[in-house]
Amino acid sequence: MGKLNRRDFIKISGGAAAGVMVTPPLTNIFQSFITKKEKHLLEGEATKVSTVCEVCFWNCAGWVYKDKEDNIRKVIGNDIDPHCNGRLCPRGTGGLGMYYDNDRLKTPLIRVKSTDGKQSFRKASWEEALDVIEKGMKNIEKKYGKESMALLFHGKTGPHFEHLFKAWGSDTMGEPAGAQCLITREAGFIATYGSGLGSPEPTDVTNADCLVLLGHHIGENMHNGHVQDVSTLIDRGGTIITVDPRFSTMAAHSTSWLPIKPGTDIALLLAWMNIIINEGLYDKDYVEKYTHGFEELKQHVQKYSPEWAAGITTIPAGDIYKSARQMGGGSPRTIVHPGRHTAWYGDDTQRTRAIAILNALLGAWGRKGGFYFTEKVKLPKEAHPPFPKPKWTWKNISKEQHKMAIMGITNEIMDNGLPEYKGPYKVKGMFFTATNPIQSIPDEEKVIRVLENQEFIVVVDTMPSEITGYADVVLPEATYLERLDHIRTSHHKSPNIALRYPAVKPKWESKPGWWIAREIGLRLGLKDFYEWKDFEEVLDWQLKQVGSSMDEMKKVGVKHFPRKTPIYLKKDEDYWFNTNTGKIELYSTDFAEWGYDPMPTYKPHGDIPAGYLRLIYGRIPMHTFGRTLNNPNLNELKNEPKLWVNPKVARIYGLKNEEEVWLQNPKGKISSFSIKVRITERIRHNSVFLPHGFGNKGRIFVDGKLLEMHLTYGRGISDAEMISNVLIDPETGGTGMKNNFVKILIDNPYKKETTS
Amino acid sequence: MAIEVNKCVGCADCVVACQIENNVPLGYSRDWIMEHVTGTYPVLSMHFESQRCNHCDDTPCVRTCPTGASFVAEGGIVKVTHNDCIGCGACIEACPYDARYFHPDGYVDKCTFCDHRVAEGLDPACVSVCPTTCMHFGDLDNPDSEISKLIKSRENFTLIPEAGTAPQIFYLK
Amino acid sequence: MKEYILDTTRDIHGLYPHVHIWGFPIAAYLFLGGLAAGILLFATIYYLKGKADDMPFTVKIAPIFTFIIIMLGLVLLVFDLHHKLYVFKLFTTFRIESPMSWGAWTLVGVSIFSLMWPLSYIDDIEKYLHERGWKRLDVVTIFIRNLEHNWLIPRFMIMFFRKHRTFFAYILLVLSIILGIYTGILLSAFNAHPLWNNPILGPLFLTSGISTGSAFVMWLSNNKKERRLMSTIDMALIAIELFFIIHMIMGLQAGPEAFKLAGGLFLGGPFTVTFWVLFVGFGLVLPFILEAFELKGHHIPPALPAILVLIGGLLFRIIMVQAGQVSEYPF
Repeated sequence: MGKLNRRDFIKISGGAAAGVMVTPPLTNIFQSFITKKEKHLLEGEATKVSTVCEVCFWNCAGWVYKDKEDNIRKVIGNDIDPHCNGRLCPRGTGGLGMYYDNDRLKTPLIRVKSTDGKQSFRKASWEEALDVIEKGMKNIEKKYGKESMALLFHGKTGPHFEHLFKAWGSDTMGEPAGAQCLITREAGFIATYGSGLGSPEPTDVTNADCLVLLGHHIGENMHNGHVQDVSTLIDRGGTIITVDPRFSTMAAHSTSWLPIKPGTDIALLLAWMNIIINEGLYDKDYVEKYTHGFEELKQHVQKYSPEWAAGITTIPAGDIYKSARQMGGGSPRTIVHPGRHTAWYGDDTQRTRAIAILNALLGAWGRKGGFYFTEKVKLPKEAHPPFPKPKWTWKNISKEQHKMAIMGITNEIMDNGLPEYKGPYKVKGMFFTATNPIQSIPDEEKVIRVLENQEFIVVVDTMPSEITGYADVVLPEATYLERLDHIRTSHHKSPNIALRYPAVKPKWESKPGWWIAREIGLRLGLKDFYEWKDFEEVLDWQLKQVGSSMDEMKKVGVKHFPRKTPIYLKKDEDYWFNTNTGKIELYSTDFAEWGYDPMPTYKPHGDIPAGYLRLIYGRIPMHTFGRTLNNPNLNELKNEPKLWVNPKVARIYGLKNEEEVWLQNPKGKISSFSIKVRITERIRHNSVFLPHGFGNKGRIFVDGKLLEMHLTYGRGISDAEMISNVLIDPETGGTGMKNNFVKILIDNPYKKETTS
Repeated sequence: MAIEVNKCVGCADCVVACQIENNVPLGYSRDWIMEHVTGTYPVLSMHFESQRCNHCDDTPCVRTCPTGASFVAEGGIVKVTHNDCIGCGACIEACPYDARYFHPDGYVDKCTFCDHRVAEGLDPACVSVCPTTCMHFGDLDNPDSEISKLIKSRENFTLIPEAGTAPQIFYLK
Repeated sequence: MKEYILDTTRDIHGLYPHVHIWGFPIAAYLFLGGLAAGILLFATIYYLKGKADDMPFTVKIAPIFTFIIIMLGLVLLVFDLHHKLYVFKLFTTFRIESPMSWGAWTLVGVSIFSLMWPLSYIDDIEKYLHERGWKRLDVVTIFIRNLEHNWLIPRFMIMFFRKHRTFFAYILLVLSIILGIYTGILLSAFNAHPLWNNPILGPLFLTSGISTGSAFVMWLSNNKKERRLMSTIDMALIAIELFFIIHMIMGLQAGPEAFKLAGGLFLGGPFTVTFWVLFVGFGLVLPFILEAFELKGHHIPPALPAILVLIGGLLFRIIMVQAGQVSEYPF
């Protein structure tokens, strides 16, 4: 496109006579009335600062554009970053709203006793707040031991506090991203292949011919790089098979959609294995060379015929055959994607095991168009004395019961904080950073009882979410645009590192996580673990160890390194997998030893109670659950959720589109707020759907003034509120939350009936 | 502009990028996402449409503007000169696409195809940010341009063609 | 089931669920424009027919009101603008394809001439007022006389106008027809709203405007012959209006789907009762019957049918502005 010339005369398309234009000089006087408008920021005028987005875990690298007055104007993706290829998702693009959000936590807060039941706090200085934390943590140490102080964390802030706690002497920690989300998937894959998937998942979609998704709703989850990859797959005319009880975005863009009955995925997977083995569609050489337990598996799946599965899943047998043949036809360039949030029905490790087995049969692991081998740049940790050994850790809480618990199981750590827990691993103090257990950990009523039973709670966050109200001390953290964090070292096809550098100074009195952790550490006598003053020193040292430097990273943002290990299996190459047998275990020897099913079996999960509908929760692409709901730019895009209701159900209840309804679960719990109904054919007649994260009810009072996330307070219903039936995955302790049901209430249950 | 609806996931990146790039005040938007669903469970089809001003070839809005504030700039981009606009709303009434709106400062505002970026040789903000790369921008008057060839090679539709405005955004199936 | 829904929040005032940026001010302005056009039409036609002295109210007195009516309309128009300070830009250019531009300039022309017309009749007006014992407006008439006698430019302008009154009558006649018909063409030029987008709207609005003009004269004139004449003309105009309305609705029903939906607004849709009962019933048919009775000899106070017609005219435009914005092309 050439340079655009703005012409002064009117060009009327259609060739009619041009209008007569008269511009008396008088008009120029009135130009002074022009309101001061924001001018566009042109490429050449902008200062760019390298950053790594923190709006979700994908952590795309980007550039923060600042204008001449040093204001952040926009955030654009880094072109050489394989996570985003220069294009940020809507949440990354809107990320600057997080910085400008006026509801942010601005100062440290200390709890004050309130007589009117309100969560009341007063503003405090950093000195005072940190002193209170020091006292609080030392108190827990004196009364119960350091181990009883637990840490629940999330995001890139987590590592700073992990280091603090380990240095102090507590390893009672976990992140909801484990037990509530992907631990079941990691367990399934580790049991099969000896290694998990990590983030982002190493799926080679750009070279794949067939992609099978089980509930992994790409497009509604904005997994940036993967959405881009799937887009290229659509361009190439690849086969996409989506298995989902509702008509998701991906289902609409797939070549085929299998509308599965919720809870029956294992049946389908076993039937697929049955077809692929019996029809010889598996990669025979691969299976022969690299897998263990094929004969056992073959025998095991004989009874799981497609016809049997059709009855259970309500997917016609013909479709099961067709999809299996498509998957087989694409082998080895077929990916059966395990998804990410896999904690569904309490048998989730077995389900992801089935997916892992399927991928192995198709020869996809370590192959082009399947799953590639990851390699990461190893950044050496800065030297520090060895961590003290705590008397007990999260392993004592969970590992005995759940052999595949590879990280702290947050719900079990919290369970040990209940007043009725009388065991040796008591949790009496909690430290939350960047996580809101009211929404993230299921069974809200139990979570609240835990919190009320704690003697000391610290919350480090950027926004006043619900957990803030339960804290004794609240510390305002700076957003990702205002702070340094660890170098992102990504295990993409090409190992790379990315730098997050603060684009602007922290707003108000917020501070970066590393500073907060260090200050607490110094007060706890841990100066040997904090021999640096500024985190930038640490990063610069780390970068220099791998041949880069702070200066270089500030200029490029992302740096790629050549691979030292092969990305795919070479033909006939010998390869040792990190399992007991050294091979891909279709029959899991570890599981057999530990008393778990060595091969997945199908177990029904019970039917929907009469009068109720299944609650299906999910995501929307413009939000990262509660993290972005109050972000003004993203709240603009969607400020409230809708409840998907099938037209048949709507007719029975007499519902109209956009009508406000409430929900009630079988335990009698009624939702705090209402939600608008969307009558759509995209959901089954016996289920409803709503996006997770809404229904915020966090309100605190600071020096008497109300502080809440005002753009999202009270909007919509929180599915976490409705979830009370938690199914624990035996292998990992993961919390299955998809067997929950609700009833629709049309009349406002909170309106008091007035009797005249 | 061409938008491939078989790839669009309705993420609204285009909407927020436009808002930030063009300083659109909160509460207003120059583009938006429509969702189109047909069928009965489980035989369904759906697509998203990212909609904005279609920069029509036969502009009813420019025609009806009494001051000439609405005009067609080079390349067929329809624009509004803020200080010639009296805020009468005739162009808003004339547009069948709900593309125009009253800016809080009083004048009428709408998508400008980011002509300030086009002048620098860049794509409009929405096109350059879309993660599925389903949006394309180029010279429709040149039959050999990438976009013209793309549109010719695919089944496509425009919005409300029966209104007779000759819209210049093509949705490719 | 088909869904075509907005997936992102777009709560812009005036756009959803359908465009509704024009309301009472615009409808009132259209009504006032039509009324002024009607009054001036009769003034100029009867002047040109030589009936200036037979029908003094129609030709000489009624046009006084038009200036006030037009000014009121302009105030409403400017009040409704969102960028008021720039209103002068309307008069920096003339856009031949924009009915609004036509309207802006015509309004200027009509208001100037409608001011000159009664000024040129200032003697007759004074006499008319004194005949009825209205001494209070003498202040105004004396002021104007002063202007005329003592200041060169006003005197020249008024004299010039008086001398070439016939010529200016023709101009004013043309301008008033343009004014009357432009209010309809303004709406019919919006092809985004099927209800408005038909060629009958222009003549319909013109007829309605002239009808309100005749009703106005009929109401305020004290000359029995004038009143009877206006009454007869009004009856004819109402009949033509009814014909146009039926024609318009039939035309809509015979059009493509979007047009059928538009017509449906009056045939069972939300505007059915308001349109047929309040406007057609009370604003057209009832005054017609009352005027017929009057002609037959029953004594009907002329104010009654006149006010019904005037309110009906205003109501008609309010309905059309609202219903038009509701009618859209479904995506």
